[in-house]
Amino acid sequence: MGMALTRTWLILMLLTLTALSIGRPAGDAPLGAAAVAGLLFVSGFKAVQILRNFLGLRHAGTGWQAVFILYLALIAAAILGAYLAAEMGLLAGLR
Amino acid sequence: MPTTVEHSRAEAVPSDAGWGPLSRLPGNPMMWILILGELAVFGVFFVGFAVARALDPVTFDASQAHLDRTIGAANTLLLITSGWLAALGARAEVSGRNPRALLAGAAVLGVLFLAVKAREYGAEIGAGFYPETNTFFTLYYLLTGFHALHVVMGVVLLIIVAWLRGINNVETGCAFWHMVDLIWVILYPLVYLIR
Repeated sequence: MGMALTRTWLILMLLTLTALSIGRPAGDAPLGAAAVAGLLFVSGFKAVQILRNFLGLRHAGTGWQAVFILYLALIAAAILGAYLAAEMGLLAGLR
Repeated sequence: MPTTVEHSRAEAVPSDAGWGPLSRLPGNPMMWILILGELAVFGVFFVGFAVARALDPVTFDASQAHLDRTIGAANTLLLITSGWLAALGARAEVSGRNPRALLAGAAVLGVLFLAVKAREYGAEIGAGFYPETNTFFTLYYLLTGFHALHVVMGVVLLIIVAWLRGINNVETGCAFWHMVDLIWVILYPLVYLIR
């Protein structure tokens, strides 16, 4: 059981470094929609790992897992939607 | 033989089954009500931040360039490692082993996270970036400050449950700590990386 937690920890560490790499820490140029989507996917996957393995939602039934995954998906969709809206200049006139 | 009054008093005390679906979650159901509430609040903050950026991407991206993205990632690694120790601590408690060293380790890493964050705030304020500088910095200080407040509460909770052990207590404290971890995992890319 401890091994499974340690494996989750290693995956999370690796995914954090992956997210940092996608986010190009040294540059200031826009990431672009594909990179932002990738970043959100990696971060969402990390959040699911924390929920399922660290928090133990794996044992709480599929209903609870679905609720939390839906929560994460809605936030990621809203963030990506807002990013795309900014890229396309859809909200430029609202300021 | 209980009297009718004693019997009705016992019935008035809610059992675990009275919590419905919440009783399936680890730790105290009251903590899960708090966790669900906190996730809702942070969810609104996250969407609000994303929409505010969409309204003024130039200011947000120029301001974000002054944050230290690598330090933010280092803090993510600290919180993830702390969460791992807390999860091992909860597992130890369930297995009948003493989780204090693991929970203490989780709390120490939480304090280290706060120290790094304080240093980051110091550098940003030293460079002239205050909450009133612009919308980005208002939301940056608000979001990360609110999260840091939760880290403080989480550290206190970890210390309390390490002291007052028991499966329910340790699982409850760790559930809060993992929620703090989870929020940072979303907050970090949103505030530090997306541009």
